[in-house]
Amino acid sequence: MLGFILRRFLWMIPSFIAVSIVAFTIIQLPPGDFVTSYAADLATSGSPADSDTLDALRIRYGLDQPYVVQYLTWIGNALRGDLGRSFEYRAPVSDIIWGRLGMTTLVAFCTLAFVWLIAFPVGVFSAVRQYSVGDYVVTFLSFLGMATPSFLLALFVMYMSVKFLGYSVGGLFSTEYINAPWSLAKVADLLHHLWIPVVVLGVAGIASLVRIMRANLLDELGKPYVETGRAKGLPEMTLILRYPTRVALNPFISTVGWVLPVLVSGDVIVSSVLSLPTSGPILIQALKTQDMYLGGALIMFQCILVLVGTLLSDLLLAWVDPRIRYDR
Amino acid sequence: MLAASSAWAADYKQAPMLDAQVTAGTLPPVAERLPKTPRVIEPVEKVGKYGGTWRSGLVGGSDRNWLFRIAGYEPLVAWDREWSGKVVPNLAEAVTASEDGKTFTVKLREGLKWSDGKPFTSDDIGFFINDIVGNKELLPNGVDWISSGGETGKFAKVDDANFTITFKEPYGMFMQRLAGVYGVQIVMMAKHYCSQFMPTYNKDGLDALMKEAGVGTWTELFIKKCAVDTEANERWQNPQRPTMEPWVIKDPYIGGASLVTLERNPYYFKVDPEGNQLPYIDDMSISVNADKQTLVLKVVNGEIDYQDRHVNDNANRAVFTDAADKAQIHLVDGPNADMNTTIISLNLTSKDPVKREIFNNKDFRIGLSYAIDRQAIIDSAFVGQGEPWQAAPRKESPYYNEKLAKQYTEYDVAKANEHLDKAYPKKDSNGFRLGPDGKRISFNIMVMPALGDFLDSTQLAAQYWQAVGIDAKVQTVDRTLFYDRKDNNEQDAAVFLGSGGMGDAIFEPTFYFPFWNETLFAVPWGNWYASGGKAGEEPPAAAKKQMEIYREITKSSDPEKQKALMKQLLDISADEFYAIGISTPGPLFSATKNNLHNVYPRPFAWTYPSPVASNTEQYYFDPVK
Repeated sequence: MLGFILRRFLWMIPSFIAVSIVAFTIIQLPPGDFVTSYAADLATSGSPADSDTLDALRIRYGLDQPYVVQYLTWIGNALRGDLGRSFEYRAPVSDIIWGRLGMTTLVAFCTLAFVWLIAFPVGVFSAVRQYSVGDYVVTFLSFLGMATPSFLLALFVMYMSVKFLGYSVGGLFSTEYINAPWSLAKVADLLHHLWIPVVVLGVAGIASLVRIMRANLLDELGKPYVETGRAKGLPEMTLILRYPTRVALNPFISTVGWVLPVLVSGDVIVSSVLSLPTSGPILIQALKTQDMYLGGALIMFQCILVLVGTLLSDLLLAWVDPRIRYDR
Repeated sequence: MLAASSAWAADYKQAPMLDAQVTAGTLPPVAERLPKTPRVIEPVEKVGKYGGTWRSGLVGGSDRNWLFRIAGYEPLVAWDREWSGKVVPNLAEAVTASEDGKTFTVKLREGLKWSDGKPFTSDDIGFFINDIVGNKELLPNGVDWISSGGETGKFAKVDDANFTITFKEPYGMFMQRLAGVYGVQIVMMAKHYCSQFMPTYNKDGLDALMKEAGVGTWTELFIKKCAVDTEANERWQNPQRPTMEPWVIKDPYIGGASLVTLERNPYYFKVDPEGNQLPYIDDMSISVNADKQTLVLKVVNGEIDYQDRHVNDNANRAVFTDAADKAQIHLVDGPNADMNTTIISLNLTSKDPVKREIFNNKDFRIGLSYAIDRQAIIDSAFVGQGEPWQAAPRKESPYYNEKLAKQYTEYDVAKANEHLDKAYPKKDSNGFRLGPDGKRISFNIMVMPALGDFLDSTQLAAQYWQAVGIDAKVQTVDRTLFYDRKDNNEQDAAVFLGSGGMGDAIFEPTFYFPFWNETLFAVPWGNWYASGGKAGEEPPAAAKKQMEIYREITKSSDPEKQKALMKQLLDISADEFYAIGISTPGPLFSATKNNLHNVYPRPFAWTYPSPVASNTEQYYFDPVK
């Protein structure tokens, strides 16, 4: 087991290097650079910059250097904890992303908890009562949930909350709490706003997990060990929850690894629509303006989350399922 | 005059929120905070009431120019509210030009104070000119608007309130430059504060400051703390930096911020006619949104007191009108200073010699212009707002030139074909015209949809061109690609909106002659002019004549002479017919809360930063929230 963990850790190093190269390449791919989009921005505000100024900017930001040099400088600094400067915000990248990553994590975990709390019992119910009216209703709703684009749902929920609940639009806080220090009232205000993104982000996840749970459990329900348990007189609830459900959980756990980054990145559009102070909107902005250090750092973080998440789900899986544990 | 104002001084009044501080002795009385002769602002409607918070919104992390546009314009001399082209005294009480147009004598208001209470004097201006502009490390290229004949103006101090600036060559437009957006730069540096970030003044303490700020060089430190450019993000990031503006930054606009706030500057130098110190509104609360639509919804929800930027697309008019009752808002229209919604520039300097020959054929361009049904485009793409127009100053502009504006704008397919037949009569079996090389005339029109409403209009224009046998295709590109191609002169044709429609035609002659690299019909010619002949490509005689005229204009200080020269310049533009315009933009609007008063229906422009140049400091709430 220890050897397995160690090997998994060592594999993360080359993966990380590959991932960082890919991240840096992605943001370098489009033509032009940050200065080009900066110039475009100035031109629309009616104040175009001349080419001398732009060249001076390129030199100041090191954009005139060859690609490899830029990458090595970036990754070298990143390993020492310096993620570089955001051109657009004119501030260190770390200043910008830490607070945002905190909020992102909060939203992600609340959503994850919400998704599991609902998907798990509903999925079990839907499998146990296969082809009942309840199952059809659940099935219908999950297909609907999967088919609804979440940004549209976000717009809809936001409009409804403005129209009928009189909420302030967007964000996770009311205006008076945004810059206020943390207090009970601020937490209450946060909870008051948090349900919108959690519901919006959770709906699609719930829908698909309900389907997965239902299918897996149906596979297990017909197996001989269930029949044996039933024959031995175990109460139905205990039987189902203790044995087949546990086996059916496997896919939940093996996808935890993907859930992490999906929750962090998958919310990009929803977060933009809802103006959430998470990392999604700044990633999209950074990619649009080719703010490469900011964009690169965010993409790299997501890749690291995939690596960590995969490791996490491997370990969990080994812990939950004895068949995997004793493999090697 | 002086006696009158000092007798008046005893009567100055201030915002109630400052009373406690004055009583406690932490703030001097209002009469001591104001200069001897404060600038008196005539309110738009009537004298206002103190109090309230102005709520508006930003989009994204680099939207600093909205902050500038509501709270960042306090130059030495300012535009008048109507933007008649006149400049009026602001921080300076008077500016006089010498006979030869080379020397400008400035008299500051006596007793002006920075927002931290320290005096604002000639030394602050001297610091800007000598230590900032003159510093090669900080600004290797100098500052364009404060130089003439290639040299920065020379500063000479007379006393604390008087100084002169002398240029190498006559600089007739200097006053307008001072009043324009970049002129604000000259009054952004408080010497007592900013000098601590320069090696000249603080050699020993600099390392510690750099370390504290987490920067590697003193120039970075200086920019971070004192914001060199008018448009810098840094202007809104450092609450310690003293300013002369009505509100000062409190919660900074730094990365990740979702709310930016500003609060009243107790030392602000303006009063209303009854001696009330301005501004009326206490503070500003500005949300940072990720998306324009969120801001639109905020307006609809009544969460915004005044906003024009980002929400004043014509498409939103109906949305806001519907929500007017519930949100308690109304729309204030103001003329758009842009002269065109859509300017299609064929690349007269194309690298492809065949296309170059075709595009430079004036009959070809005239034919294309006649082929467009502009009224139909206005009706379908611009909800009926605007009138058919070429790339020319608007009617409201002192430089209006009827021929330039209206020539070839009628929809006349017969005339179109007549001109096109004169140029390229041969057609292929599909009815498309053949160029001089015997191949079908076909080109791409590059459009970036992200930066304007000109995609629909361009697509319609291209359809009209297809109908007269020209195979024009619209190609939408991302803005970085657009700029990349344009800067490398790789485009066939490109589209942009037209600025410089009003009095600013004289500062932004982008589409009137090859002026710089934003002149899309001939970027290399523009570069040739902007670089003084060092880069780009030498333009033909007519354009060179225009460049000569424009140089004359910048030297002249007589508005009448400038106007006459500008007419000559625009007459040549009309003869050359460089680019094809579609229509003037309709009026723009702001969404304004019903209880916000003294809002002036100002023109929307950049050189006249709206709405701040119409004196946002005299906006007030009634009733106060």
